[in-house]
Amino acid sequence: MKVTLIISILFLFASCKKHNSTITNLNSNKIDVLGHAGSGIASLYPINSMESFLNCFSEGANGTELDVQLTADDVLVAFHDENLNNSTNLTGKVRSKTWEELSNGFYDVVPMTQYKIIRVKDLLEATYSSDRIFTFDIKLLQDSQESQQLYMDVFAQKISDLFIEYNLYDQAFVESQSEAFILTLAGTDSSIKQFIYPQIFEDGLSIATGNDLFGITISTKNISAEQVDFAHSLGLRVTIWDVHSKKENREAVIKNPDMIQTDKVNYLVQYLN
Amino acid sequence: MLKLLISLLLLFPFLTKAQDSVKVNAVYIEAGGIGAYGSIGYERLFPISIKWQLGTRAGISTLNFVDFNDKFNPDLILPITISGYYGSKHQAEIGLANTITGINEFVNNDTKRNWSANGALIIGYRFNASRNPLFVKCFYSPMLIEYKRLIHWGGLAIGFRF
Repeated sequence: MKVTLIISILFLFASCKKHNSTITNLNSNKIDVLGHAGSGIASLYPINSMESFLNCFSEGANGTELDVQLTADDVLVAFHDENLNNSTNLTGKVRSKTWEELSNGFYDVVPMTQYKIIRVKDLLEATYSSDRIFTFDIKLLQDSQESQQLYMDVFAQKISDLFIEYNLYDQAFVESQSEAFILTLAGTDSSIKQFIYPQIFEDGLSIATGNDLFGITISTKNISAEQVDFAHSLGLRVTIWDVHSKKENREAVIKNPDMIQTDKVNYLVQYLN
Repeated sequence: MLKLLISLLLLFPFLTKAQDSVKVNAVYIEAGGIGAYGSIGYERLFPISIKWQLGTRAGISTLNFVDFNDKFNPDLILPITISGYYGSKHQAEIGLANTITGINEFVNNDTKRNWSANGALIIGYRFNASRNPLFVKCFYSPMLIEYKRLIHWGGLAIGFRF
């Protein structure tokens, strides 16, 4: 009985653990908590669905990352996968469908649910507030027959239109794995703050400094605390993602990034508070 | 299919005759199955002969207790089943199920409960322990989502007979 009580008390304290060391970064020494495509991959709400985003905000996130793709009729939608087959009742690529076709689709990963695919505009209409952060992760998945540069030109223009319409310049970021897209977007709208999203830290650092970017978005597995410090010393913000467990969240916090895109929003918000 | 299920449920007491020696009530907990990721429920058996039994089950489940606006507003998943069992200690099961769902969704800038009905076939094996009132079972339960779209599904259950 005593042992059970002691274990219960220890468990209670462990689950309420709070971060208590000093944060030093370029974001006024605080870490902004962003949901990973909403409430993250472990949530019962499908990533990039409206319900997932709303749930993430209700858990106290400062903002969210979202995956952005372009439809056949050039509408920006929030969707992650290369194909619709794996997570929806539709088939093919987003780029092969018009928005009207996509709007009739739904996520079918959780049985008996029909959460809708949404436009980026829908998300902003429903959740915009001036202190909410949005990071648009650009997924370049064009049709094989179209010109890549033409596709990127249209994509960049649509992103720029969105920033203008909702005046997102102070609260939203764009991240991309493609230096070519980053250059295209910078040519279209130089006021948008951009992050390179590399696999290797040094590659990202080189592209970020070479193109005067706002920062680097990188997996927590591919960056150390020292590398975060070094990026900060060059004036680059650092966003860490790929943090699924509580332990990974705590380890990410120790690195002092400016933002964390987490799959455990509730936990990270409580931990940092 | 829903009408067929309801008709069979209503006719059950007249189709069957109880046998005193058989425990005809059970509560169970199910992982997977026709309650999506799991459910709890009650089962009533109607013995027809030494080897044959009919059973009706009603359960309840949810996906989220708290909705995406952080309000207590559980999704509702309400499975009902009618099954035939053959055997005594080791039983084969075949059954039909209908699951009513009320899932919270964000529609037209508001939280709305989307009600739907889903069908399922159940093909399973059940083991009734002889020295205690427990039973376990495993089953394949392909579902027809909204009676239109087939998904392959299955589950495990453990129950207590009384």
